Amino acid sequence: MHRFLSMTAIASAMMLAACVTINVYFPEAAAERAADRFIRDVLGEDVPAAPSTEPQASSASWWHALSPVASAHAQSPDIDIDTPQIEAIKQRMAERQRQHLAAWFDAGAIGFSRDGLVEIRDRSAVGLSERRELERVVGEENADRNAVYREIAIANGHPEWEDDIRDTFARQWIANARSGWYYQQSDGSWTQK
Amino acid sequence: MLVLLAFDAGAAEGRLSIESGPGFAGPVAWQLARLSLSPGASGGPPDWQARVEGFEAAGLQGDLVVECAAGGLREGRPWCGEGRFEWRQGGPEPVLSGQLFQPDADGSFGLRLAEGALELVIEWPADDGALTAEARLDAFALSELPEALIRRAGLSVLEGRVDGRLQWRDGRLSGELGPAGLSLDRPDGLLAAAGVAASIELQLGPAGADGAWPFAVSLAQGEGELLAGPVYLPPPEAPLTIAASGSYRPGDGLDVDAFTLDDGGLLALAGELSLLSGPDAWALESLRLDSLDVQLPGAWTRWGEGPAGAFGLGGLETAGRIEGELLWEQGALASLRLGLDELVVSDARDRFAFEGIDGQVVRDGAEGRIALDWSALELFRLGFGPSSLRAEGEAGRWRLREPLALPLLDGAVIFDRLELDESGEGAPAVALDARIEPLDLSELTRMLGLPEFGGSLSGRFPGVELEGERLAFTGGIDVNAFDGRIALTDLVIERPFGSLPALAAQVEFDRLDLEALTGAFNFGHMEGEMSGWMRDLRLLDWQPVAMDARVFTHDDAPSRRIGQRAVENLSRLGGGAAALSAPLLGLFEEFPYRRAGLACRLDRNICHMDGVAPREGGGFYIVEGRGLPRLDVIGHRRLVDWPRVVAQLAAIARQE
Repeated sequence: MHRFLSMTAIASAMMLAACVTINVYFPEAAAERAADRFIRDVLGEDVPAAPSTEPQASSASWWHALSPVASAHAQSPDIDIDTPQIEAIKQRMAERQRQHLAAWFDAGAIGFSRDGLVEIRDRSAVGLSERRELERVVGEENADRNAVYREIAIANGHPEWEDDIRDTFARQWIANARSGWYYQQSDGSWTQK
Repeated sequence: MLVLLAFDAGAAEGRLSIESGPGFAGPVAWQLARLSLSPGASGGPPDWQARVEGFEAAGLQGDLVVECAAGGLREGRPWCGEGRFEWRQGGPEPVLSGQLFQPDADGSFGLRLAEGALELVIEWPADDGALTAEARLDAFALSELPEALIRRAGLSVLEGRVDGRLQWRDGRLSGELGPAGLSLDRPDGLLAAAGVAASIELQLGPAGADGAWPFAVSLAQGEGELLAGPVYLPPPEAPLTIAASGSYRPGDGLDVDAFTLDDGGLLALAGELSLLSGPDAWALESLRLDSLDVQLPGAWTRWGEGPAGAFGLGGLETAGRIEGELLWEQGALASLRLGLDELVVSDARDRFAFEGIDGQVVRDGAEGRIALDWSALELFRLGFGPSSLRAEGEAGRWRLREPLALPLLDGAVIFDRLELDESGEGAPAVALDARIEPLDLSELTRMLGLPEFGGSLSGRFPGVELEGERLAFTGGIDVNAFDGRIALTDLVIERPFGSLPALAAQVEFDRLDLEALTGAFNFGHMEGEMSGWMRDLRLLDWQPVAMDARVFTHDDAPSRRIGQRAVENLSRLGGGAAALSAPLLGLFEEFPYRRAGLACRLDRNICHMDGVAPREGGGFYIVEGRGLPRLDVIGHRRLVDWPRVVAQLAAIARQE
């Protein structure tokens, strides 16, 4: 009987403990939307909307606005990336995209790597005068990208989400890529979209 | 030289036919060779045809067909006054074709390609002599070369025109070539040229008894761009010259016994090197630079700018001179000596600048020594005075031999220990102990362009560690100012020189005198003592993006009074808080207070406001009055946009 009681006590204690443990899971869908917005701002307006991997997401906005339960949605974890510093980097990246990267993606000289960065895949695809800029511009772009992934995670109070945010961005860069641009598969090989 | 493994000759119907099975001659091999000769019509010179199938030389394969309409054999050697030849590689169109002609000299044989832009004259050897050949190039277009030959040379593009002369005599190749408008590229794009004009002189051979070919080559590039990896050389102002001599061991390697490189006086190298030929590429086996002379800024602009740009250090301004010597052996640096003379290195984005660096960097085997002195260092607007760096290293671990002192105003930043370990993989690990010897704050604030205030600043950082781009400080900075103390601890700086620098810290304020503080920051007049904190402060690009900040006054301070303008400023900062008893404002200059305080938790661009105590009936006290005339400042807005707070602080700082 004693044993039964103590077992019950332990079980209850464990259940209580379980009740007060709050696990904050990485808000995948919200991160995807935020990354998608960011990326479309960088890549420019003529990029077609990326097909979302989440079927309900497209209807979420009007649902959110009309439904009386909208406030419940607002309380779910969100990813916010609209700080002035991230905004400044985004502007810089969009400028770089227009000036250099778009043409290099078109030519196949660079591609989206599997870790959310840009990688040089074929130097010979661009002329000599452009090629001398490749290393510098790609280096600057990747420094900006690494800073963005880390600072989004920190700004949202979860530095440990950095890798999840990087993975989300890596997928969304590829989803938003124009056809003809190259991206890296998970095994490291290059595929043309 | 010529070995025929099978030989079959026959004559039928006045026609001579010679056929050979598989054979080889030096580097040339073939599957089938056939020569047939017919008597010429009406007593004229005979016509002959030659066909070589499965011809293989220098990695090129194909069939060679020679048809001569008027020619024959003279003293057993073929000649041709008129004919043509074709080089085929399976396809219907020949990859190379040209005419045969009879040069002036007897006993010779001429080939003409590309409408005469390339003429090759072969003189058949006398009885026991060797073959002699001479090629003349007259604006020969390199695009005429067969693609297979270009690919074989490891190139994807080879264009341009070449003038010059090459001669093969007595087993020795010599001549001069002058390419112009030369463009070349490799499939990997790592090596390329465009619009290059150069003059080349070369000599190769004859091969020695050991099979090695001595060579000497000199090159002067006057025009055009070159690219090698991240190094991009724009058209030179003064010619880039290279001279090299040594020996070539086919299939084994290349020894350059002496070479010099002079880039218009900006960069000069002299030394020797050897390369080993591998299955795919050449590998550097050893390199000795007996002299290295780098004149800045010219050499940096041409050679250093590209590689530095990839590391985020584009646009460095440089001056001065570097000379030295170097030995590289077995894939590693064996020894190095660099002498720096009046070197200046200045960042384009004003993050750092060194002036007048003199000294030596020496590496001998595993051991290294650095002795550098500089006259000034500017780091993030902080101007440091002259310093001396003395360091030594062994097997990739470097440490200071004596403390490094960076004088700053009347104090200094002193590194008692600085260790750099590059023996592991990846980025080197850095660990250091540093301290700040007391600095006068009024001079420091003036230097940084901040509102000027007195006091002193000192700090201790035992065990600072650099991991990747993250610099984590232990210990902290102590500021004695405003008759109180400000402490900065848990400092972390990320990407200090990179994209979006970040700084995290815990800041504590302890009993600062409000009269001095508000005076220094032009906030209006306030008396009392203030404590508080900025916990989990994070700056991005040196602007706050997150913090949990709270400041509050002490009830036991002897004099607690607040002036009109300070009331107005506090009200504005508190999100437009209302000052109760507003009509009194105009009547009195100052008001006694019981307590005052303000809190802002900054998160994602929003300041979550709070005051010193909640107020019954709503809102929170920012200033709680005491006695008469009584004045309360009550805040009502809990959420305020951070940019608005910043704008108000800026407006306060601008007030007269």
